[in-house]
Amino acid sequence: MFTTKRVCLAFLFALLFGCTPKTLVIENQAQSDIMPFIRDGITEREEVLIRLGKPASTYKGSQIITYWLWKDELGKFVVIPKQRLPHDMRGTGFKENLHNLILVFDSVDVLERHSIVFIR
Amino acid sequence: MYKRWVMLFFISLTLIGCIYIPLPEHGLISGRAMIHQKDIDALEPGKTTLADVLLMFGDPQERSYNDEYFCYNWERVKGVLGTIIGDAPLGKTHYFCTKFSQDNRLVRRAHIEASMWGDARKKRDEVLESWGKEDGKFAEN
Repeated sequence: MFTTKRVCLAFLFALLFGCTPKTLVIENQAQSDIMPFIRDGITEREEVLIRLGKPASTYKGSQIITYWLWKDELGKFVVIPKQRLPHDMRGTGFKENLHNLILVFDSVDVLERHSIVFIR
Repeated sequence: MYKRWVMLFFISLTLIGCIYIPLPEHGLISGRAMIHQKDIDALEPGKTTLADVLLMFGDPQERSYNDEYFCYNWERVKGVLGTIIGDAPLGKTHYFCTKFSQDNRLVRRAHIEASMWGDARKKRDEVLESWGKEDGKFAEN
């Protein structure tokens, strides 16, 4: 009886704590912690393209560009091509290290706003 | 008499061999992350822009070719299906879709979820159709 109770309790704990839903977190201060060269009102599009390469996605005639960043074992962020992303993002351990960088430029190609969306 | 035993045998096999245990929604089976209802409610039609939505939620999984429509999706565990050979989680799919105007302002937003055995994708298509999306096509993003 005691053992059955313990098994039930363990199952309940696993349900409550082992399957915590992943939620979106946004880093959007004026200067990025993850990418320090990214500064609102200062960084130009050209610098971003030179440093990070071809964007993963572009919106509204390239006014908005996005990148996928992968945090490696050493905590360093590297740009990964969109083609390498799993289609439905199944599997644990992958999503947690994936960061989505969103950059919004003004009419003279200076960074207006940015955010880094990741899950926790 | 013999037939009754055969029927009982098959009924018990069905009952023992396959059982569905409903659970409160939890975890994440697929999709990048769940989007909270309070974040969806914080968006203001006519005020929120396409850039605001991207900065808040990141790249959508699906976007229309002219960027008039975005859709994010995720799947959460809603129950467990137990069979003789093992068990598997059963998921519930959610969609969060937006519609933007020509000047990139949010026009419509919806959190779409189907009932346990319902087709969320079909429901999403119905909602988008009611918003005026005609072709039903999306570009994977």
